[in-house]
Amino acid sequence: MSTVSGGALVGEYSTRNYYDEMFITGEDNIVVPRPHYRALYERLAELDGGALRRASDLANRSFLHQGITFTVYSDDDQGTERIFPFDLIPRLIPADEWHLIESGLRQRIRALNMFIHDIYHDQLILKERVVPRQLIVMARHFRREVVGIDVPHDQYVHIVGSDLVRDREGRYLVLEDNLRSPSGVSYVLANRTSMTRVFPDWFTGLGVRPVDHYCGQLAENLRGLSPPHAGRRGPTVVLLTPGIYNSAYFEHAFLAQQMGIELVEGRDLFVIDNRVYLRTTRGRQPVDVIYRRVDDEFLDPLAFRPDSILGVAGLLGAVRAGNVALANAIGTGVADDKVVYHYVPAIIRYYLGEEPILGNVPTYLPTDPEQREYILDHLGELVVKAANESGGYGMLIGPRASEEEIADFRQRVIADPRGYIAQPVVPLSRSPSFISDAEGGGGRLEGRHIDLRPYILSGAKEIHILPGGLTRVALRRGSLVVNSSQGGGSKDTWVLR
Amino acid sequence: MRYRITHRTAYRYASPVHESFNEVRLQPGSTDTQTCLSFDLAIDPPATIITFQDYYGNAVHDFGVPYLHDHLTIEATSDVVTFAGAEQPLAGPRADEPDRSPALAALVGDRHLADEWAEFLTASGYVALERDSGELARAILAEDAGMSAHTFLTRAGSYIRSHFTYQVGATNVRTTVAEVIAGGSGVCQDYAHLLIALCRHLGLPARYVSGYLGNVMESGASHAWTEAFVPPYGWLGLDPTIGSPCTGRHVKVAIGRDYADVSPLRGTYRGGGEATLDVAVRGETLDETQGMVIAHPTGDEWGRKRLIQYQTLGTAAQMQRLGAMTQTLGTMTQTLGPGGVGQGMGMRYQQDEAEIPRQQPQQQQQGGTIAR
Amino acid sequence: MLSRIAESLYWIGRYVERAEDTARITDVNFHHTLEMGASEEAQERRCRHWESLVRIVGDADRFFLTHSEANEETVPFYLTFARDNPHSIVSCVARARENARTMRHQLASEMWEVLNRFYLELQRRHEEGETPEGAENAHDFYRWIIEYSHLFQGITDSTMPREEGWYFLQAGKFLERAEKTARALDVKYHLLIADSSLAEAAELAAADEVPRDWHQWLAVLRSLSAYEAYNKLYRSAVRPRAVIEMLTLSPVFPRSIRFAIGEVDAALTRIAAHLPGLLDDDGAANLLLGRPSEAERAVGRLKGALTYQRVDELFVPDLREYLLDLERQCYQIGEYIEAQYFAGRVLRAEEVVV
Repeated sequence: MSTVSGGALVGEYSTRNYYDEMFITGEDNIVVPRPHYRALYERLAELDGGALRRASDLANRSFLHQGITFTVYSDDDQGTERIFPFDLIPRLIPADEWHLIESGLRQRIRALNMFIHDIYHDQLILKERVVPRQLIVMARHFRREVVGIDVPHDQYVHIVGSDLVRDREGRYLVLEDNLRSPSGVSYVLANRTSMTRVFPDWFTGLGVRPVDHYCGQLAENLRGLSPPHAGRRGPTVVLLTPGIYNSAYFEHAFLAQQMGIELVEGRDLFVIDNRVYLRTTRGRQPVDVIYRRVDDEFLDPLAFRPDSILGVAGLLGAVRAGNVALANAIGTGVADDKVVYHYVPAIIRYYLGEEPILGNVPTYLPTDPEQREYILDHLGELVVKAANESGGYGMLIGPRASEEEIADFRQRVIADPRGYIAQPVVPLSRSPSFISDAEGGGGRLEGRHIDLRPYILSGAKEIHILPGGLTRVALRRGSLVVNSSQGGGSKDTWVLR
Repeated sequence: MRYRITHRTAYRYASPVHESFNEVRLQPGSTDTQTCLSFDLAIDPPATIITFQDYYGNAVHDFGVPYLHDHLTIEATSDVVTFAGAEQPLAGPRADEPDRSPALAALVGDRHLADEWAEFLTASGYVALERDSGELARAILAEDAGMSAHTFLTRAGSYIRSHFTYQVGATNVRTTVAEVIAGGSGVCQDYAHLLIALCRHLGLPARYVSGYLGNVMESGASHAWTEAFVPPYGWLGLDPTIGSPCTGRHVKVAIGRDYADVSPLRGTYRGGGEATLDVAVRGETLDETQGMVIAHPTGDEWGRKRLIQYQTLGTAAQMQRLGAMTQTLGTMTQTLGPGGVGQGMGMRYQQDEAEIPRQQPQQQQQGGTIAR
Repeated sequence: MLSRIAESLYWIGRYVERAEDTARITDVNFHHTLEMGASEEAQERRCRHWESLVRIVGDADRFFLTHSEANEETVPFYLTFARDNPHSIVSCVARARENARTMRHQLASEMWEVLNRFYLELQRRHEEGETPEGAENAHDFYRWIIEYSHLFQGITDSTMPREEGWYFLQAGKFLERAEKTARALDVKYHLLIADSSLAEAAELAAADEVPRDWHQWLAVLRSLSAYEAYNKLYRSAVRPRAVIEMLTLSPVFPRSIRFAIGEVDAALTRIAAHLPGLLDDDGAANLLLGRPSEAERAVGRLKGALTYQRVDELFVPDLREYLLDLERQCYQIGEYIEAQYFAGRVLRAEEVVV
């Protein structure tokens, strides 16, 4: 017996097989809420499905009206705007757990930043053969163009959105580091605003830490990157977006507005004598810091892809001359490579001489003959991922895959062992989520798999971790994929004092 | 040998262009086979030039012309001494020496080599490592399965020289190895790519070299050849266009995985209109005496240079930011290499008329026009 | 303000106005050709008229690439729905919408919504075959387009802060209007030429009495919503000279060329007034010395000419020349504005101190 009884809403809630965020099976197999969820549970018990349904509809509608959407393009040039479905039941993280997450992430970001700096300078870690040189120089996001270029305060990584998951025992594991330009923080802020509107009383007495200082902190960090020449004029910071066709365009516009900085496209910028300028109706205005949401390869058609029209010709020259700072710096993607991910624990030990606080998901590399053998023999049980893709693309989930898909991935792994990794399926933890009835105005709570993306702002002096983050939830029953493109939704994340 | 090379690239635009940004790799390096005594780069219209070293250790000059202009002329003049005579190989075993390189087959399993020269062993943009080139490589090796790495390199080079037709216009700046094999003809750039592919297929690290044949007086392009890493000698140059090892005539400018890493000029600009390109490369032999004598380094220097050669690429490419911005009116003069070497030499301007193929076109482009 | 944003606003202004003006001109031509009767000779004349319309409003070369004959079916379709015609109403609305999209977060949501609806509705009508067939339908249809344009102007007027961006929108709108009013007169003039000799046409256009084709002149007035204003200002029957004077030189009628150029001038002056924080060394020097930009100069000169010209001068050597010159000047002003303020702005060597 492992179901919760009591309350129309909770009904036949099952905690079987997975770590459940809210409930725990206590003595005599009685399922009870975990202590830090007790207050919320009591509030939930007061509600029925109808009330939650109405609140849920209201919240989701308000996202649509505020334009908090992402755009999905199909054949016609129209583009459909979708919201990222919002689940009202928050995910709670008690202070001690959060402390662990924070110190683990701090450690990881410090080590990864040192790693990236080393890779683009002395390459000591390669010389000492802690990480095979071959894996780094063949990484798709290794940017040989920036080797030897110094960046302000030796800081490559400024904004990080690591993906954390919890396994069956409830241990937090890092799934991906996301050191390029992670998106989603606008949902964190919007979700919180929405929650405080819809259920203000849920917050009472819980000691939920606020998240609203994110944009202020980010703006301050970005200004701190400015080269000294900005002087009296004060630094000009801009946000560089690929433009309206980018699915995260809303977030770009939102963050620019919140920080009070200009939202620009590549064509708004130009370079003269290794200085970057804005084209304005008043002539040219110098730019000191660029928060870029454009991938490395598209930043400068001179240095990278010549066909890019999203970037600024000569930008790398300005970076090399130290006249402009980019956040994140060019080349951080090398540490996002899933093959490099496998080495992160070793990287932490190498640079910091510490044991990793947060674990990795075990990862098999097809470049190693023995591991390749194992992978090919167990494709049906493993998750195979392309080393350089994100967003749930280029992925095989063995237990859910057809024979053709498995055969296809077998060929791919054999053809390009450097391009893939394999991991066991992580039994993601579950959190109660509100599931509407297909008919009628009600609904009830069911367990759905979740992950957690905290947002980390790494400044010159300090690493700030937003106490909260994006909890993504796989709203389809049984699904382990939380990506917005594949039926995922989000929850507000409450970090408790 | 000592040469003065003048490489002039001139663009004319049918209608004026602006926001032109360019990167040139035209400065011969100072390596263990040559020293660049002086280098001068003149840009018209005037532009600020920044110099830096790229990942492979090549000297890069970067400049932009933001305002409207209807022409762009880049003239690079370098004075280079190579450490061998015109007919003498620059490196590797001499004719009278035994070949000390290991069997090629033994190199494949060398993890150390694979790690050290990873990027010169795998496919790159122009060198795709497809079936055709793989079969060709294995066919050349099949003559003698125990063939040494050095022998393979020489045989593969002369194979290309004898089995492919040198033909200007048959290929273009974007031609890949597979297309060269299919077409059976090409220019030096294609030959170099093909030879690189043959080496890499069999686990012999190989890279692309852009440079000049110093003794060629007039030409419409620079030259290109291949280098392969042959232990214990290190990087050995082989010119598949000539079909033999590089000699004192070969002046090295830049190295990379393939043409894309070393193109003499790459750039972008805004504006419409057709661009016409005119490239003129001129070589003058400054001293016909054996370069070895003039520039042979002392034992100490020699040792140091050997060391550099065997260090990892990562170290060789350990770059400081050469951020010294030189504000000039279009020209920048740099003197590199040991200053004293060139002193006191009789400057005789004699042209070498040996029967060597004319300097072969390594194609050049200022791609990626962004038209508004 | 970012050049790109200024440019988008300017073009939104131009495109919406262009859609409206094309609707007006096409509409009046429908009326006109309808009266020609059904004889074979009348049909021929009709075709000539449509052809001259496509020459003036559209791009005849492009048109004849895909069409063999200009007639009352092909031309209106081409000017209204053809996607391959960059000046068609649907293309204009699509481009205005696209421009608005890139700066949506900086516009009042109503402004975006009206453009979005305008576009979607136009598409729907096209897909459902509501093409402007027959003058009756056509009139309603083009009215509908004009009303949508007015709706947009109204919303803009009541939501947009009177800052730099507003003046760029206005500059675009009125520059387009000045040019299109000239073109509307040009169309009428070409109709005259199509029906008579050049000399006769010149004489007819300058006539200061009620002509035989007075109802056509009336249609021109109506197409520009100018009939009531004409009656009020001139208190007389329709005389070509008076019509031309009003549409060209009237300081009070809002669709006259003079009025529109005056608005462009005002907008550019306000834009310049926003510039004291100028950062360009070059521009700062000009400002200090009170030098106007090339765009301001060109608009100022044209405004001066329109203010002090006598109507007689419009006919020397003939109206066609005069209108052509006006169109050229408008084009030049557009070029200057682009060069001065927008993203395509090309630096001059002297601006970049090397």
